[in-house]
Amino acid sequence: MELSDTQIIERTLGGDTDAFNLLVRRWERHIYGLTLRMLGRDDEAKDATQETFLSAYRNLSKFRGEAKFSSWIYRIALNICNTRLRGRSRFVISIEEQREESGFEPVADTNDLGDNIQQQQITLHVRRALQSLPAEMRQVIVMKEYEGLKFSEIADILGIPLSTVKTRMYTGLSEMRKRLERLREAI
Amino acid sequence: MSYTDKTPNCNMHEAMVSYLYDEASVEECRQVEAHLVECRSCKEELEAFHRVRGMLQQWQIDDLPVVRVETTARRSFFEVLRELFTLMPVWAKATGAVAALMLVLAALGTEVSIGKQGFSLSADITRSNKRSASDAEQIRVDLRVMVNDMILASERQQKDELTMKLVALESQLQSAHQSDLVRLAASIEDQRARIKTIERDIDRREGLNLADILFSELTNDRDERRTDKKIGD
Ligand SMILES: [Zn+2]
Repeated sequence: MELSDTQIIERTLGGDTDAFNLLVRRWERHIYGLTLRMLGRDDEAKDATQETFLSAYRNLSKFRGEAKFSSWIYRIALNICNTRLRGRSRFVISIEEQREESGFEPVADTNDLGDNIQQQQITLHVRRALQSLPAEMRQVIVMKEYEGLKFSEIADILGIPLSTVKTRMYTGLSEMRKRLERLREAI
Repeated sequence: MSYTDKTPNCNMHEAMVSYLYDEASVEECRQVEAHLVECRSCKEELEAFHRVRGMLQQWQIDDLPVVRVETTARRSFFEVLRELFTLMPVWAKATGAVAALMLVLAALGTEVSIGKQGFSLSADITRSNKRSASDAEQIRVDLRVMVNDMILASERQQKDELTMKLVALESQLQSAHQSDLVRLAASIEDQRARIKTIERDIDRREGLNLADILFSELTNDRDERRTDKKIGD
């Protein structure tokens, strides 16, 4: 039988510290997905993921069983992302955008590759559009759309009212619509 | 731009997103569906949101970072301290390392001073030989604070590997048995004579690894190969 997150935590705190890696394997994909979509940059997301698990391990004894482990670790990851986002300068972002831009030049135009390139273009624009949203809208969209969390769970993780989560979701989607429809006209 | 203006007057925003993500109650569903029949702009907006969702889903992630949190089995307080001190030479230049040595030596009733010949030790005979478990507990608290400082310093310099080692140590300090601490307190008096010997040794031979000597004494480890190491490296 598979151990629950809480059982793994109990084992880890009880001295079987290797058990913690079961939690890492179980949640790393989610945390990486969250940090990558929040930060928009692979290298930084990898660091943030590592940092998240390190912080969770270090603070494991502070984890209270009344919350879900997933909510707790999502919260840690978001805090780490927000700290990184706050520390970013406009200059760094613009350099990154230039780098991405040059990295997506079409390489060939056979039909086969054409679809692939169009797909890449869409992904690139989705990434950009998401990055250009205010972080508080982006985090709601990411948790809902990619992590499939319930609005009530998102409210719990962020510590904000349910209605605020839904309003941010609505505004975020409206903003994404503006940005992506501009793109649809372009391609 | 083909974007249709938002629909602020309909007051359907929350119900709309609930509906879009299948989280609407029966009542909300009924409300939204009734509204969509009569409000063209909300109907268009909902369709547009479906398209936005479709595009968002194009961004899928296929790679995964290698996440590794180094965890080590629970060990005794002495072993944890020993490892802390083996890690310290990396940080010998940081004040933390010196402070840690001072702290532990002070706990043992021994004074440390740094003079022309490097480190030197002298037993503080005016201090009480009897030490309580609460003294030992204080050592643990102080050490944890120090390890935490080292972790922060390490993170600032992005030394992931070292950070992980320190993190593991920190958690072991936390879980060290109270009985270890009591044993530490109780052993202090026994160590006095030995510390005096160490003191003479240090005077005689230049550049010993203070921590190794101290803790090999403390844990009755007769691993002699360490004694030819140099301080700070
Ligand atoms: Zn309407």
